[in-house]
Amino acid sequence: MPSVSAPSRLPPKSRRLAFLDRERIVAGPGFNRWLVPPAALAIHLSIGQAYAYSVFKLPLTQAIGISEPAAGDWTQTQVAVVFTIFIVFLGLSAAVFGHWLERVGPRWAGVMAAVCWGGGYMVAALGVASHQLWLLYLGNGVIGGCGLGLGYISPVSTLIKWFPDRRGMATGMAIMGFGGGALIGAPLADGLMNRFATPSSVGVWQTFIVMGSIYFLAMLAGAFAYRVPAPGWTPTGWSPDRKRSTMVTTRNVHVRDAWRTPQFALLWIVLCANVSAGIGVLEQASPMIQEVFEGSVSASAAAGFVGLLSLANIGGRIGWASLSDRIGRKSTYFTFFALGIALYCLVPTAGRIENVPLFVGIFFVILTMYGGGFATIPAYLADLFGAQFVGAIHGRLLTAWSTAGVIGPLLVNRLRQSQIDAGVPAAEAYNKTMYVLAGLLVIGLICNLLVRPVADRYFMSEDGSSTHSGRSTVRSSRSAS
Amino acid sequence: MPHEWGSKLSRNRLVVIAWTAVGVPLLWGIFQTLKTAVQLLE
Repeated sequence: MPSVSAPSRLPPKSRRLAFLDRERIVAGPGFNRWLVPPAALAIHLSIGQAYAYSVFKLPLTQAIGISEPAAGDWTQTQVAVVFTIFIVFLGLSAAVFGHWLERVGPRWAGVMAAVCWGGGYMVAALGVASHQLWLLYLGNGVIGGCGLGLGYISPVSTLIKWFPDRRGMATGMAIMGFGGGALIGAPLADGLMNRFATPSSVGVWQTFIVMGSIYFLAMLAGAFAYRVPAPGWTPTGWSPDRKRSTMVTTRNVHVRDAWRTPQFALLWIVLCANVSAGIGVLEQASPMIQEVFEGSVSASAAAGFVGLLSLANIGGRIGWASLSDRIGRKSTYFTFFALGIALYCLVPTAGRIENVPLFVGIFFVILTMYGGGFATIPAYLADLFGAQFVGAIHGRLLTAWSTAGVIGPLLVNRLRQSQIDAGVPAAEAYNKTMYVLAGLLVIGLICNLLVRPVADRYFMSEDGSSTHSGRSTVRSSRSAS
Repeated sequence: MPHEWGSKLSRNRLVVIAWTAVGVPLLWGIFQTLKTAVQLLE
């Protein structure tokens, strides 16, 4: 009889992977919440390798010629497309799978991220070994990009629920790992390629296999270390009622309603403006400092400058996000934009008076705020929309990052080229760009100032149903709690 | 089923091990970056 046989077949099948379910990773009494940030870091340090993908750029363009590009070798432009696919699929997968993650829990998401990220490297290795560019795009770009998106958002809601008293610091720690991943990935990839290089191979596909395996295991370890707090758990001595700001809610907005609110649109623009400005500079940092200070800054010194910016990016993630716990998210973003506008407008002056330390210092601070913007946004979302669906809401907001990843570099490169074409000396070609980037930050500043607490009608009622959309959300909200 | 998490001492030891596992590679990466930056600037 179907009514009997179906349940008897289904449970064993569904139980096989039940150890990944949210219900199975509820922390027991005495669990130390400080075990969760290292789990998140294990995943973010792995996927952060995406920022160091450029180390493969040159070897991938010499896969046939070995010592120099030969006929049939991929061009730098073709290889650079991988990074764009990374960022686009990061945003798409985070947006699409964010709600699924809230339902099934962070361990499922972490395991899937490990499979995609590690598996993506294996597919890409096959692509390099067989010299099939589409396999490289599919492996590193599409599959890896999905792993990137899932891995990026998987710890956010978990950490926010474990650290309701220090949301900014908690998410800052994880997102700092994403910046730090490049610092580990770049020298690791470089060392492995040197080891595997032979007269007939640049050693990239072998490096992909080793790195894919290492990252798969590290991410799996992180995913299995995840625990979620028991319903109603709060840190000892802390109460949600202690929140004083009207910008911090104790209720929840369903993800389906959150993205329809003006606050979501405003924060989308805030993130997009902050990231567009920062990513444009980061991408062009090395040639920019050499062109502005022509003759006095070598290519080697410029590489050192890029390294310093990476450290600023990482430091800003934990530093600014932790500070936001004290001064509030809105004030933190106000600082990013107000200070950012002043600093971008100061860059042409630093170039004109040929003051290299001032120039480096300005960009160091700018890049701390770029990183800080990423790390503070999940806590900003949790403050406005509640912690219950923050992972899914954050996932949808990351489409702003994907957009900025295309806009920022395009803006900086196009503006510079138009200045050069108009006969402006290379040393002054970035001046107009800096004013345009400052203009982007003005838009972000205004949008941030317009952010107000979410209207009552968007919040879910006590029984877990969504009052705004008119559709019952009891089932999904209960399963996500 | 949630279980009791051992003694306080073993829980604290686990936290130290977990942080060491992620902290050491991160510090190694920062050190490598600084080393390269200094070498290049020299």
